[in-house]
Amino acid sequence: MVVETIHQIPLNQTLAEALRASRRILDLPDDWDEEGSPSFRETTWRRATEFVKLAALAFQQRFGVWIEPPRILPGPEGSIDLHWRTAERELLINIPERAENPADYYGTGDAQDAVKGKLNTALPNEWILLWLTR
Amino acid sequence: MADPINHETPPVWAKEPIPDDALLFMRVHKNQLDADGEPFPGAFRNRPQSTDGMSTDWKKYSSPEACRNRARNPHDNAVIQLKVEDVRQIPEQTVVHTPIYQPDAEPPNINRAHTDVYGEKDAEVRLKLMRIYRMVIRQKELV
Repeated sequence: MVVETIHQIPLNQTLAEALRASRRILDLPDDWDEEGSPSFRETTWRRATEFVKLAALAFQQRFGVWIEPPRILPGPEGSIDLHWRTAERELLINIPERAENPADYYGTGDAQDAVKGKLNTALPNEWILLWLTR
Repeated sequence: MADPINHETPPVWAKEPIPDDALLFMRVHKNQLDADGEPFPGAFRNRPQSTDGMSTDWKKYSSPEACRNRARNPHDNAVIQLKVEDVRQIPEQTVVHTPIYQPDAEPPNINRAHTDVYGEKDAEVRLKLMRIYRMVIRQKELV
């Protein structure tokens, strides 16, 4: 079922619903953790969800399958975390509040199997989803 | 001789070295817990700025319940435990005893157990902290 499109190409229902539901993060007020953390900016949420769409779409076009949606979670200092877990691997991508800063990522399987670095979220970076699902 | 009741005379709480086998307690607010009551990666962060430390309580001077009860709304928090040796094995993380004595703060902030975990909490550090914590008080157990 087609529920949302990006660049006129449909997303699958599971992914679209997860992205839509993640908007709840914007309902958290200032001091949402009672430790002084700030609320989340719509621009940060849009950057996070647009990146998921871009990466998932590129992955689907290249490999023919849709990636499972990540958990889209409140992160430190107004940032948003994208968190995937599979049976073998785990990946955390942090979308910072400051739009000019790149995303920080770390993925791990076992001690000899880890990836770490910065991502330009304007690019699909589908390679990282390939790493996650390999 | 210092008057123990006079708050103008701070108590002598030396910063003590914390051994590797020590345990730390940390509150996790319900907004940082998933449906199973487990913390999100975002629960592991420095407060309030990234240059500060991650706030914990040393077991030598605190219990899990005392750690929970320092929250504004204790029942909104779970408490997890971290072993100092495991924390120190994570890149660039240092564990430093930082007791607090601020009787004139509103509310007063007095905590001999207070311990900071310094070091940037990037994605690698937070995922590694996710792998070493142990839950000691679940948030829903408190209601």
